[in-house]
Amino acid sequence: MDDLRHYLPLSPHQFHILLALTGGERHGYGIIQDVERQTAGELRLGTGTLYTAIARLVALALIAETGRADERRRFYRLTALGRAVLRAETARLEALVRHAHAHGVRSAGPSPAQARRS
Amino acid sequence: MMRIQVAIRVHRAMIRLLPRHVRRAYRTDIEQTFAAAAVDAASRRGTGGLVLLLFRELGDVIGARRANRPAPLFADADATGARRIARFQVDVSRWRQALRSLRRRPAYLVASLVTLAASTAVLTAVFALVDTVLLRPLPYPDADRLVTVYESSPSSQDRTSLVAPARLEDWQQRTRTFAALSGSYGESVTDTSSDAPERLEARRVAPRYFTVFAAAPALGRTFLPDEEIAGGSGVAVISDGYWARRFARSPAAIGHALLIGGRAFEIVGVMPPAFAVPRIDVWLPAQTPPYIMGLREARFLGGIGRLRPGIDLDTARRELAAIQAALAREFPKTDEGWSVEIGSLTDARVGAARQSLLLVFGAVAALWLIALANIAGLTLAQLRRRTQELGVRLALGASRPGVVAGLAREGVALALAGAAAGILLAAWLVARMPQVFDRMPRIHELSLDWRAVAFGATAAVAAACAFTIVPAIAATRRRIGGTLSGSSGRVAGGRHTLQRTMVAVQVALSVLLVGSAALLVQTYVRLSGVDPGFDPAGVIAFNVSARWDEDRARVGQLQQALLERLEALPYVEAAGFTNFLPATSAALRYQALVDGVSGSNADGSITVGARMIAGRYFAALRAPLISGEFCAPLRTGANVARTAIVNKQFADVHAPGQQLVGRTLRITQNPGSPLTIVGVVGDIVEDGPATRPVPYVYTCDPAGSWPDPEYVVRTNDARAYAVDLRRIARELDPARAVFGLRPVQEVLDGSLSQPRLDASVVGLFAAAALALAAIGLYGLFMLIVADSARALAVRAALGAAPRQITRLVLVGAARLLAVGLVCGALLTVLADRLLRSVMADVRPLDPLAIGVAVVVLAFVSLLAVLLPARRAARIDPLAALRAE
Repeated sequence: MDDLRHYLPLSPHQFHILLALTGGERHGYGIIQDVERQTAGELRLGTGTLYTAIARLVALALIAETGRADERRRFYRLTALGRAVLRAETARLEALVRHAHAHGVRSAGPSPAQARRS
Repeated sequence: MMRIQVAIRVHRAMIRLLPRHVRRAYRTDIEQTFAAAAVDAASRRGTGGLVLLLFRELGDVIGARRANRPAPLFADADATGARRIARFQVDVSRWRQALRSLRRRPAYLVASLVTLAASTAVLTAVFALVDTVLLRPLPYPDADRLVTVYESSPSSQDRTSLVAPARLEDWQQRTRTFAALSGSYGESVTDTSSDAPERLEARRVAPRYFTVFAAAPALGRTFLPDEEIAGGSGVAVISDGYWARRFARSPAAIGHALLIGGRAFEIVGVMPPAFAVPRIDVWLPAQTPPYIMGLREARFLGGIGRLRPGIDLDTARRELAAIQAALAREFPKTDEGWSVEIGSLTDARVGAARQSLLLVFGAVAALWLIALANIAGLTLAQLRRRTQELGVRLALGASRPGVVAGLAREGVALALAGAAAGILLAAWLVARMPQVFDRMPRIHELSLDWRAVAFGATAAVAAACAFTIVPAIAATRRRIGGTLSGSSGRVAGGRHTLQRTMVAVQVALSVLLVGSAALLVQTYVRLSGVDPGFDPAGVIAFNVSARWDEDRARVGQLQQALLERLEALPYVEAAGFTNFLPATSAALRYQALVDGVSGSNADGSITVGARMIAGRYFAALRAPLISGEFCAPLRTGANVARTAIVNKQFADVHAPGQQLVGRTLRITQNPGSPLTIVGVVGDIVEDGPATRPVPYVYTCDPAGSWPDPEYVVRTNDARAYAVDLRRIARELDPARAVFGLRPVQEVLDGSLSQPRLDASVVGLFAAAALALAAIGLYGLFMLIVADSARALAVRAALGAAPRQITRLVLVGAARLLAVGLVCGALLTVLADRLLRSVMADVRPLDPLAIGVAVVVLAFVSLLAVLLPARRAARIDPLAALRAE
């Protein structure tokens, strides 16, 4: 776990991108659609954010290209490291939520607090 | 899906905003992903969805870097990112600080912003004008290969001559350097296909005309080869302007038949707006009849040609000259001694405007420099007022580059605002320019394009660097101790060197502008005072439409009847006509042989200007008859006695003291019976007021020989006359249009419009320069007086009278002024040579113009320093000394 701390925290965008890739390999627009669905339309990635994130995540080896090329689109998948970082980030967020609950802080609405801080 | 393509292209431009490593690695994939998103958005929410997507993408692309920065929860996890954020925030705050600092000095802010915006606007607008007219290629494919082609006569001077159609075809057959040669001549025609006859400006074009320009029609087609020669069917190509005016741009115009001189011309094509010089309505094939093709001396085409790729002007000129030399051996009677003249079409179209434009641009550049010097002066002045603040900052450990950078930030903010305002203002100016420069060629192409915007923006931003960073460096150079103590030295002494230089430069440039304006005004006044050689008051000119290829006898009868009926009107004194009115820049030259007179040309001929006149033309103009008589009344027919009148210059130069009346005269280019000189008339400004009189021959031709002349009538009741003229014309031939009714005085004034415009534009700039220089001087001396308050107070305390102190300040100003004025006078002397090389009409160096400039500048400058001088005299010694 200690090793993974260097990758944390993930930006919300990166978190959602990794989350989208847990369902298997995706191309760029597939990721955008997945994230939109996951967040019920609340987070719509643009190409700029998406690919800046992809560049970073690929550089950190959290995701990788699959090598499959279909209609000139490129596909991306989660690496083992990426999966581990995603778990670590989830654990960190859980810890934060538990911490908050312990202080009697609860979200007002029915929906779970979203990790949007940007 | 056009709109998706457009969206993708827009997005492609946005991608450039992304970090380079992202762009490099993922460009195609980004485009693919966006394309998928765009298709999705368009199918779900149409164009609106697409636009929304693009806006979101723009925000996203700009925010991409920040969005991907992890939240700064664990500062150590991404320390560099956090630092970067911190620096970014500091940057913003520094810019805010710069804006706040500017806002604290509203006078400085407004003054420099207005100066910068106004001068950038004028500079940008004039650059757009120069760029459009002089720098951009003409709106034809490979326009640099288009050339004008003329014949060159054997005369020793003014050799340019129009081209004979027969010779044009000979050249076309033999040339290897031209892709195509053609030519055209203007004609005013009347279309009677609609209810009222409408006059149209037509060009009759020789074969291959549209091939030469390589311009495709906007609609339909141009002429087919067999439509361009005699016997071809009647076809017409119309201009965009006429298409819009008559047919409201309806495609149904194609196939419509124009009725010109009783002949139907079917419209086959429409040319795009850029093709035509303005005021051409229709192109008709010349369809030159065989008998004219046989006349090698019938020269009436303005030639035009397209060079083959890679051929330069000289090569083409040499080849065509060689071809013409061969033709001279084959047709010695008609072609002997003739050669060719080739020039670039661009020069022919815009050459005349070049002088004026360069003049205006030079004036604007000078004004721009003055404005810059002024802003630099303002900046220096406000920095001087901030020496304490800057000194404190430096003393507290701020680095000098840091302080300079802070000041530069203020300058850049100012420059960006000024540039933006200036470019908006320039757009407004550019939209109004066609009204001011209405005679400028290509003015209808004028627009504020990205080149002009880039030029203006670059100039403004470069200026910002010059007028803020240099003063900032200068202001921070002083020792900290000195600035903090704030004590000031001598009166108008060695300090303020930079600002004094700026003011001297302003004064010098203002002298240059005022001096140039004075020269141009003088030129205009002189030209407008030139005696035209006749009395233009009460003379009215008009035209009646007629074609060159209609029955001349019929036209002749009409001309004769028209003049007779007009002269029968009680309020008409005389009526006649000529082929070209005076001062309308029709200055073609011919060679005349007079028996008993040996001219200066090799063959004994005299180079003359020539006009065709008829009826009581000279009587209508009240031109003085010196000897002999004027033309006989206008008659039709070939058996009319051919007579001519020469002007005074002709008689004075070539036959001084001789009796010319009764001698015979032949114009070598015009075969036919020799002419008998019947009279000598006073000199008329045929070539315009700027040109000295040259020998002129006026031929009294039979009626109908020039179908569409300029009619002139002297009348004392212009209104009644206009009504009667139309009635008479209608009665004589209802199918003809009467047009161009205008006082001859207006025609004369028209020849002065260029010098008048030059003088007023440069005059305007000179006035602006004066104002700027005065403001600059005023600012400088206010500053000097404020800075020298202590020294002045000491003098006052020691008993100096207020008047002495005023004098002290004035002497300082006078010294500075003297330097500026002397430099300015020297500049004007230099510029005068330049001015004369571009402006033919400007007289040699005129001390009066420079004198006027120096006196005006000195007067304005002294006014500007009087106030600071009086303030100096009122300094209260106690208050000033206590303030330290």
